[in-house]
Amino acid sequence: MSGRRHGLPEGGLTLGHPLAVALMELAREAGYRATSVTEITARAGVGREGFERDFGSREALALAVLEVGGAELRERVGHAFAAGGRWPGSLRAAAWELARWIREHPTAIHFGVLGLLGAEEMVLVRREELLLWFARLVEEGRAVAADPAAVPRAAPLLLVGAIVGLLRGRLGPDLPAAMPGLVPEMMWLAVRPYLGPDAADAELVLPPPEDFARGPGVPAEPRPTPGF
Amino acid sequence: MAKLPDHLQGSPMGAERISREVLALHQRDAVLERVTEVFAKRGYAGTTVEDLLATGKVGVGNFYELFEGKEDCFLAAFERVVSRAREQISAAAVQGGDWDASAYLALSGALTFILAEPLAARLALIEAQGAGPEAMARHDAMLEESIVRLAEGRRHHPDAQLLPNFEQAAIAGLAFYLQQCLLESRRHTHAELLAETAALVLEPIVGSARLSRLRREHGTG
Repeated sequence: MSGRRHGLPEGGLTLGHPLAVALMELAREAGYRATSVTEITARAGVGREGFERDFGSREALALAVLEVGGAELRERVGHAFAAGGRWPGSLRAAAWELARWIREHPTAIHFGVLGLLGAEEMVLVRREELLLWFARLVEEGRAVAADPAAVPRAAPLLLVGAIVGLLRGRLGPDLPAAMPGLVPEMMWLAVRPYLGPDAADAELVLPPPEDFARGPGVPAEPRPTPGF
Repeated sequence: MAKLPDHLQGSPMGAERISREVLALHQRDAVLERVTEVFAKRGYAGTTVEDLLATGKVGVGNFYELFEGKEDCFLAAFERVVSRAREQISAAAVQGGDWDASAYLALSGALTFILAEPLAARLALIEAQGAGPEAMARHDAMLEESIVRLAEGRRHHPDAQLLPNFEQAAIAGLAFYLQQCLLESRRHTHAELLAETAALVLEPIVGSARLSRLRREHGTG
């Protein structure tokens, strides 16, 4: 978003802005499609006129939320990947940075994984672009695979979908605390097709980073959810 | 020559009256078959009742006799797709001699259905997630059914080194991958999809040697 918009901080929308928070919370509570602009502005304590001037529609707000959240994610996770050394170390560093982001933005991850399902097509396309970006990080494993041609081409997409499924199964207030247990599982899934079962199993016994090692404990079992 | 008793004699073919219930069921099924395409192409939000009337070739009065509204129509179309897919998958799976073969053939059957009926598959796998909470719940139940079936593999392969949530992750991943395939303009072949997905979903359970044998025994698609 370029330029300063009236009522928004310099640099545009942030994930902490009342409108962003309102959209994400209402989408979590009632679903995206059932959330109206009237409800969003009321929850945010923002005047309708200001909303119309800055966004004009729920879709525009959702796109802005995805843009700012996605940009922050890509910057942090991408930087961690680049600094993480050789794959899978790079992917593991990226995964732990994702976990930190989830810990800081639990409402946003719910919005990205589940809350915005049912949104307008462009919103879903932007979401998909972000997921495909993660898939490219996973696919870097092909370069270090013993037999790159043997790794299914479907691997990165299937793995990103699997990881979203894992996150979706744990959405809720417990998710941040569950990340120390989920990251090794995400790495097991990602590493196995590229480096084999032994390398995947090794991911499960690696110690977490210090900022997660001293964090809250992980629930022993995921909460049962209908479907997942 | 033996003759049917009088009370079992029917009217000449075509002259017997068909019950209103049977007619209504047939009409409902025909409408659902037609509206599946418009829901898949326009999406749930983009489909109006007028679209359903036009595509379903049904009048407004008739439509509301068959369905309570757009959502009810969508849910009925969804259930019809899932029921037909389930039939095809079960028919394929039952030909397997053991769990491994049944699972492989079930996966193959699912892919056959998706490739043969991409619009129906799109309705169930993609559009259902944006058609309201009830449709989402049924979409999740559809995937949960597959998770439960896949988890049965643990009884047959107790030594398989799997994550506690492997089946949940595998089915979620498979669904996402198939959604992407449905959204792409590139056509996929059955052989390609089966090879790719079996390697990621079944190999961790049955092992690579067994999967190779399954491919040889039952073909690659």
